[in-house]
Amino acid sequence: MAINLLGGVKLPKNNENLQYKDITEIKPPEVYAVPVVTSNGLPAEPVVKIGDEVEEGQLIVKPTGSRGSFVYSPTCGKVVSIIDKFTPKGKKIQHIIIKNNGKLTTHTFSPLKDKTAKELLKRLALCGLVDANFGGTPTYLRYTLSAIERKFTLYVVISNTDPYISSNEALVINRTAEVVGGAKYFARILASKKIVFVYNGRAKKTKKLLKKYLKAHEPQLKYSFKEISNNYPSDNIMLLMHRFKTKTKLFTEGDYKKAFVEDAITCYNFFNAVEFNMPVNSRVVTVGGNNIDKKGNYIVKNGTSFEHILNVVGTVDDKKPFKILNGGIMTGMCQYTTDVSCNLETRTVSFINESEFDMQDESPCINCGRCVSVCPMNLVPNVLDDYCVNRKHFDAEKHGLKSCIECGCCSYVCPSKRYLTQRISTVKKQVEGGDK
Amino acid sequence: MKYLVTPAPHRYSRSTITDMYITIAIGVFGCVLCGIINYKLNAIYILLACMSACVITEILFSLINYKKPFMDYSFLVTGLVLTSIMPINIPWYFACIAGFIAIASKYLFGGLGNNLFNPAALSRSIIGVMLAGMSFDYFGGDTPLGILLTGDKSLINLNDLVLGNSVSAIGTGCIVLILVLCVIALALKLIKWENILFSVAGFALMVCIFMGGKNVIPMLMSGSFVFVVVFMLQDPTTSSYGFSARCLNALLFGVLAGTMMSKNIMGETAVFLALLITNVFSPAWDRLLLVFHKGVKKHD
Ligand code: SF4
Ligand code: SF4
Repeated sequence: MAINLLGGVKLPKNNENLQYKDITEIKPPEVYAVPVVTSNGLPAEPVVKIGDEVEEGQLIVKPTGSRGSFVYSPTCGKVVSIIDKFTPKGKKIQHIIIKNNGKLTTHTFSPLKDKTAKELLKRLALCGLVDANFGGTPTYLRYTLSAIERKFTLYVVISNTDPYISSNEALVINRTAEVVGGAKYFARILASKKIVFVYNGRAKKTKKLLKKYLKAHEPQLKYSFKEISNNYPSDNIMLLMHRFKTKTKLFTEGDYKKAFVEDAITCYNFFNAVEFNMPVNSRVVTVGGNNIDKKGNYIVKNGTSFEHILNVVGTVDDKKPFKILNGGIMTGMCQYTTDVSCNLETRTVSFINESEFDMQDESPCINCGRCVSVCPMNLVPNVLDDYCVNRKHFDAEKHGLKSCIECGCCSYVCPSKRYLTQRISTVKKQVEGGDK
Repeated sequence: MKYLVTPAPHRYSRSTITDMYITIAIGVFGCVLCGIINYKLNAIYILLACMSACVITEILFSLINYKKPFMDYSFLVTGLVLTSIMPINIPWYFACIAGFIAIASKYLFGGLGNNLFNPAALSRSIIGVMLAGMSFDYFGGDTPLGILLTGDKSLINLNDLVLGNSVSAIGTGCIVLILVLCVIALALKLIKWENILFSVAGFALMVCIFMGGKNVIPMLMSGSFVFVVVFMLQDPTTSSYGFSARCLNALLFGVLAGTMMSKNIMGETAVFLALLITNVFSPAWDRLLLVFHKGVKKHD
């Protein structure tokens, strides 16, 4: 039986099967713009100055508090400026602009001696790995010393539910050894008795391939598979953590630090950081949408601009208007310009044309309750929307406005095509901005 | 290059309210058709009177409110439902008034989505109250409900009730057809099973208490109850949006309808009045249960 999460919607299947294509590295651009802080704003500062020469993998940003993350240079080159620029999520933050000089020297960490849990945890904290699901919070914050060797089960998500994201599956298919290796290192930190691979019904083939690999190459490893529902957003790590920890579908306040769920991308990056001592400065990004030529999963360095990606993959038709999304079809944020850069939170970049998006006028809410039944956070979108329209921000907050994960399910199912997610997320940003 | 900028999500499900209303209207039209076969010309007159009143009123009000002739197709459903629940011998001008009241009441509450009362039930109740004042046999014979309550119960033949051969409102007689439509609508997710289950349970309970167990089935099948449960109680605008609120709502409706029908309060109009009373409470259930929908605080 597949595990169900609360709510969620069935999205149409993507038949392009990008996950079976090989993952290639995108050609290095001339200039990189590396953001100093991630979108949740944990404080950090650059450790390089304008005019400094840096090498690939060299530390360029270090946290000022105890919670931020380290950032490593994606290339060899010269720091030409440090400026304020917009991120794909619409925040204006400091970026370090590095001009590529074509050299290929790389900085690596010194090798780990025994790869014990403590050593691995230290590497996790230093390697610069961040969670895309949590607005770029460093992964190590979820693993504290109290988590070490407590025999928690490790869950690894190997599939995606948004039809425009296939990076997890692509990694499992094309880089199986690395993903499994990374998962084993995480399991060592937790002293997990077994690793549970979580997949959805649409990724059965991927599961079979992984099972075959594990049988052939990992006879000692204890593992099992768990199916989750096909509904979007059932691959959301935060939702899954909650589901596995509390064993209930309904949300109550819980301690997220006890269920450990990782996705294939994190495992892959962690493997490279431990095995090859490489700092994390790139991420596998799905580049999709009908407006480009060469769709696929690419390894994209931190700070690569969308413009460069668009040049590499090629536009089909630049006369007709299209959308550039930082994210999939459900959560992707439209970009005004291609002068923004991918960072370590970018999971997918989609260039979609008119055949792929809908634009409809909204009509009045008919109170059908579909939005209520699909909300994975157990909210009441129609009422929240009402509060947002009438500027009753306090009431909205009282009814869980801040818990909204902006998944888009409510807008998707609404027969009246109400702009629910749109309004709720706008007001949420206002309210959160007011808090600071 | 021109980039479009809109907020997420960028794709929506195919289902729209227009499709929804047209599908339901087709279903209800099946019931009306059944009435036309039974009652021939009379039914057609009432259909024409009701529908034209609805269409004209809809055009008028939406021109005034929105400067567009039609806003949506909910008036189709209202008109057809209203036709279905009209007694057969009603004069055509009453049918016109009913159509006008139904649509006007919707707009007076602020248009689609804001109406507190089910438009068809409201106008049928008003007509029912008006007709109750006149001693006028608008059904053209004893209805099964009337017989069950005051007459010789042995005259009731269940087969006739199921197939719609008894005296009834235009489209509410043929139980078998309504049940088939109900199954289809359930499969298309246009109506909710919890509404059916809880209203029937409440109704059966009250009939059991007041009239004894053996009258439950005949009572269920008379007096438009099944039609109201399948097509009118399910109207999303006037019912609750939460699951548990819907259950409470349906239960209340069943209990009220069961009590009023068994006690012969307002005769054939009882079930519509019960629906109106339920409508008043449906937003209250939702508000009451809102405390359970608070989401969860996120941790970093
Ligand atoms: S966008 Fe927010 S309110 Fe809408 S379904 Fe998702 S979590 Fe619920
Ligand atoms: S899905 Fe749309 S029409 Fe239905 S209750 Fe929610 S907002 Fe209203």
